[in-house]
Parts: sequence; structure tokens; C-alpha cells
Amino acid sequence: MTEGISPVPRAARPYQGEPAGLVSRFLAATIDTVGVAVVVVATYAGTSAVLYLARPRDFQPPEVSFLALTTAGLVLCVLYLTLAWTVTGKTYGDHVMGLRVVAPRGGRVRVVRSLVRALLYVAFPIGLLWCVVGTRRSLQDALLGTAVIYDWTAHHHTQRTGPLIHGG
Amino acid sequence: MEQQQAGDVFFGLVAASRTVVVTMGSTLKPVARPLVHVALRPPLVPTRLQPGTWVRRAEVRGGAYRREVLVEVEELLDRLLPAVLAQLLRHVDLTEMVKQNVDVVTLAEDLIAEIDLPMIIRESTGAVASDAVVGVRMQSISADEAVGRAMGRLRSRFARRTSPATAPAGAT
Repeated sequence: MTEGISPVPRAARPYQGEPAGLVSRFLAATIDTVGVAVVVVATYAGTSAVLYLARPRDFQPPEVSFLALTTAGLVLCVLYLTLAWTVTGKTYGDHVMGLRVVAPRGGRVRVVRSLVRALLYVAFPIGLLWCVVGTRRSLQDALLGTAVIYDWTAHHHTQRTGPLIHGG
Repeated sequence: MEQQQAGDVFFGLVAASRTVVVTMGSTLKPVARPLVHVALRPPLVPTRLQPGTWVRRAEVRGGAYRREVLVEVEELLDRLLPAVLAQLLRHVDLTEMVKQNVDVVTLAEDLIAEIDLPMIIRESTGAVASDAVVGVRMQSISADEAVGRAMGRLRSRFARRTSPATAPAGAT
């Protein structure tokens, strides 16, 4: 009954289900990266605040090497991406930009595939640039058979109106 | 009151007559059917001269005529009704009539229940946060398209540049 009424604006409807391009995906990835960086910094600040409250007199800010901080950020990034892609198909950046990561047949991405995808993205983020070539798929998508589509709806739908994924 | 009683008596008589007719019909039907069949299809009479054939022809002709009349009536109604309705609506406050005669609240509640409005609101608020977000998304889609077009042009230019070099090799 409700399938006839779409919450998506009329101008955006033709794009729903179409593979997303580089700009949208890059912006979404930037939002996610900034988000993870903010969480890492906030964690460090929170830990410092707790230490200060515990021993205000002999307080020393915790010394954390840049390598440790970067490693923590990357691990957090992998966990966050895996969880988001598995549970909703959207990270926060994807949600803001109206994107969704889908499995080869258009369904939700399973946890193992999400984990491998997240590891590949963290290890080789420049693979995203591959989506300017032809089928709008990053190197990671080409390897794992996944795709990123425009999807402004909040919930995952198994059947879509637009063509889902072109080639691989 | 007397008028109502007279009306009831009339309808009572009509109902009784109808019962009598129906009873007679169901009683006489087994007897009448063979007689009607013999009357319409008498033996030893050529088919084209049988009354049944005439009745059949009349039925076909009547059907065609009925269809023609229906078309004409529909055309007439298409022309007349809008004009009549327009005149009627000019003299009637339709909104007030609906308010008086229709339970609008119940109707609206039923309608909302049917279209599952809460789900649409959830979808809308979850998917499209604000006009600013919609603007950013649409602009990024346009940028995606622009990048795609630019890459397409680059590819075709590259293909044109490489084709003259490969053509002689292919020709030899």
C-alpha cells in the first residue's frame, strides 16, 4: 500500500539504486574519517580528564605515540565500517550523502565481506579512485563484488526501482 | 399517518402478488418449457421459418441496437453532466454538505491507517533530514555525473589518439 508513496524527492528518484560516483563516495568517506578522528581525539581527551580528576596535583597528560594513536584510529575505523556496512549498509557518511553499500545481488553485505572490505579500504584507500573508470566501482568493490548505490531511504529494501549494479 | 398506512397496504399487496407469480412460475416451469420449445422449434418446419430463428434474429438486432443506444447515451451524458453539475455546484456549498453528512475524522483515521503514515514519516525523517542535506546530495550527484562525463571525454580522446598508431600495424 505504501510502495506508491516515496519519501525521496522527485528530482532524486531516478538516481535511486544507481551506482554512486566518486564525488559522493569521497565526501562520505571524508565524513567517516573525520568522525573516527574526532572519536580518537575525544577518547584521548576523556582519558586525560579522568586522570586529572583522579589525581589533579600530579597530573601528567598520558603520553601516546603518534603510531599508537594512528593504529588505534585505523582499528576503530575497521570496526566501525564493518559494523555499519553489516547492520545497515550505511556509515554515517553514507547516510549524510544518501548512499548504501550492497552485496553483489543487491542485498545486505555479510560480516566477513564487510570486514575484508573495511580492511582493504583502510589499507589502500586510494582504490576508491578506481570508481571513476566505467562502472563506478572502486578497486575494493571490483574485488569483492560489492557496489555503492544512491539510496536515500532509511531502510534497506530488497527490491529496488532503478537498475542496481552495472557489470563488475 | 394515514398516507403511510395506505402505502404499507399497497406494498403488502405488491409483495403478495409477487409471491403468487413466483410460485406459479416455479410450478408451471417444467410443463411450460417443452411447450415453448415446440412452439419455437416446431417439427417438420424448415429452420429459417421457425419462430425460434426469428426470435434469435430479433435478439441479435436488438443487441446491436442496444449497444448503439448506449454509445449515444454516454456521449449525451458526457456533454450534459459536466454542465449540469457545474450549475448544481454553483448553488450548493459542497464543503458544508460534506461536513454535515460525512464523518470526516473517521474517514481520515481510516485513510491514515491504510497508508501507514507513521512508516512514511519514519522513512522521511530518517532518510531526508533537511533541505540542506538534500541540496548537498543533489549537488554531489551532479558532480558525479560531471566527473563521469569528463572521464568519458578523456577516454574517447585517448582512444582517438591511439587509433592512428594502431591502424597501420593492424593493416600490415
